[in-house]
Amino acid sequence: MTALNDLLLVTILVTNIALSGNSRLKTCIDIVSIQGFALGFLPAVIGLETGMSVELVVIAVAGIVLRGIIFPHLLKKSIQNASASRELKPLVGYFLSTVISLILIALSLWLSKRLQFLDSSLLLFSTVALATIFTGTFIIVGRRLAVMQIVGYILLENGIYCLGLAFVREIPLIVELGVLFDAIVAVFVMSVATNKIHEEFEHFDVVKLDSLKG
Amino acid sequence: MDTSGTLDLLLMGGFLAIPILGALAMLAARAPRHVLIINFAASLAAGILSLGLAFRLSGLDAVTVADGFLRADHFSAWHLLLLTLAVFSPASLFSFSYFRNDSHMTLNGMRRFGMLWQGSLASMSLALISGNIGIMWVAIEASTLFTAFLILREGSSASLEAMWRYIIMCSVGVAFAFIGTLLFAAAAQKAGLNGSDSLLLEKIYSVKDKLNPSLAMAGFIFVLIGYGTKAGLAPMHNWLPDAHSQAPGPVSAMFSGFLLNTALYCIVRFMPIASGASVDPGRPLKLLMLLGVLSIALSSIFIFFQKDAKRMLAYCSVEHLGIIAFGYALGPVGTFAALFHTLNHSLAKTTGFFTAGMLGKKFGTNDFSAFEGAAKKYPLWGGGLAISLLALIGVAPFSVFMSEFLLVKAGIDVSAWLPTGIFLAATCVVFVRMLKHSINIVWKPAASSAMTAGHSAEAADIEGKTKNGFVAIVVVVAPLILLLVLGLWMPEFLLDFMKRAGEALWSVR
Repeated sequence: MTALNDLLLVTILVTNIALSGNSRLKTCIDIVSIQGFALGFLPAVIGLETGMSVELVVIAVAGIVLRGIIFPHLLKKSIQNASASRELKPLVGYFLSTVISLILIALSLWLSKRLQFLDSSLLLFSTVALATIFTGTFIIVGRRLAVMQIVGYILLENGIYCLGLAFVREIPLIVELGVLFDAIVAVFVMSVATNKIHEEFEHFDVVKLDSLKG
Repeated sequence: MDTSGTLDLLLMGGFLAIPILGALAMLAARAPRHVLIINFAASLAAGILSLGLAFRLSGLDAVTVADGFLRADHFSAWHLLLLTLAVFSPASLFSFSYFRNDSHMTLNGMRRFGMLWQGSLASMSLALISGNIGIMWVAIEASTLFTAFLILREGSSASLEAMWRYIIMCSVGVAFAFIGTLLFAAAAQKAGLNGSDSLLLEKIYSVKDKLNPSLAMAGFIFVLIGYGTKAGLAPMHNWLPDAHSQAPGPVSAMFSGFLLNTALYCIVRFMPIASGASVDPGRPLKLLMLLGVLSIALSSIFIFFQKDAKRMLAYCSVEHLGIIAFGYALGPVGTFAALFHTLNHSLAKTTGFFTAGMLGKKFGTNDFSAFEGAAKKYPLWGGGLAISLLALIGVAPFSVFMSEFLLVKAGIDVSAWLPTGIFLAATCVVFVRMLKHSINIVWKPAASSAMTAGHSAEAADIEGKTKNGFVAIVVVVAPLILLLVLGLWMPEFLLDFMKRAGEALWSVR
């Protein structure tokens, strides 16, 4: 079953690279959806290895529905009435972004190797988790469109979730569900805010939101 | 035993039940005013409940229910008392004055305000009574989401910008705090705790010597940066002046008076654990000290050049949160002063934002130049602002002076010369600058420029000067009198309670 596990992890890694180099918003959202599905199935695969429990099933189902379906749906809604279908002038160019995402993966691998408390079997797991966190943070900082900042936030959430799976086993169900619930409300609130920004300013370029200073 | 257990469950559950019931009751309200009445009643009820908790704790170390998921000791009870009685109750009372004759406030708009307000109350209370660091995180993130829409004012694009900055910065920051939470849980599991125990504050504390030092230290850094963003500690404070200056008056008061403190509370909760796990127990404290002193120093520069009253008060919050963090970072010696300063800051800052918010609404601008001579035109609001500025900078009889004096004393006791020196220098800068503003509000002839005042002032003038209402007077005058009394005389029970709160922080039982 480790083969399946690794396949899912590699999928997540590839989606990170793909996201950093893509300018079309719709494609980016589809990639987020793929990553969400891969991440959602992870607890189920872990369950196949270590013994299935009700909690794992609940978490897997909630994760798949949320990360694979609801998040992308909310994102799609918020770009529906937007004029821009792609981001033309990101703060960091697309080629450079792809290179940076590769460097971030290398950095994550190096960092995971240095974590002495980690079992060597979890090396790939923690590399993927850290790389997703770093890529998410990078997208939040490097893009101008509000929607892409939400994408970055989702990546960050995904990465942290993955990190939790790698480091900490048996988190109580209520805490897991609370975290998931917060994530969905956060994405919902952000997409509503994006819509409002679009109505008010007729754009959602966050770099142009600069009236408040000092 | 069993009956007291049920009673405890009711007591702790009440902190969630009251705001939820209040929010539901608002659906039945038929007029905007009714919503405000329910809002105030629920906030006050939560205040009475926290008094109940304080009494319940008189013979106990902590009240623990639901397998340790909910846990309150003196340290949490002290924060709950401030949250409900010093901030939420006065602020919801102040909304009667603030929203009077506000055309934007329809029944639905008011319901939205009230329900988000109660949601914020519930989430912040949950953060304070959670004995589980996972639940604590969930509550803090929830409070970000509840408060985000409170910043929004109808038809103001600047408030939208402020809201976006707030929600992105704080969500990302708080996400980092979750990494820290996970690292602590991982360390606790390595130290032999099982899955559900590894998130319980009390259990982690009991194995704090066995935690992997580097893991616990990394966890603490993430927690510090993450919750520090929400607490407005420099250099992660960028969202704060925008959100505080753009939000409506009662909301700014609530943000500054307690939202920041709730996040600082969470950082401080991890401190004894990190300190116990570390090879050098002082290292986590030094990190907090660094951020605290940086906040004090940076904010004093911004305060010096600030012309907007609400933004200045916001930077003043960065300064005061830095001062409180400085107190905690001095260790058990400074904890009492930090707790006392938390009370003083909450009282003085809410009053400051009430009065500045009201003047801003009347003049149509928050610029200090428009506020010159405001005390003659609006004695209550102008005078209130001038006096609360005096209280905030620590003029002698006010209790802020006392707590800052105690902090300096604690700093000298542990010979933290450099931080104490920076603290003194920065507060002097702030003192001089804000004293000038305060004098201008009272003595300087009113700004003649009618263009800043606009017609909104004239309209407000008609009702503003004639009657302020009993409620407005209570909300402004009572906290200031309290600050004055506490500066001169501290009742025995309050002193004891704060001492026990400090002990509860450093030895979790």
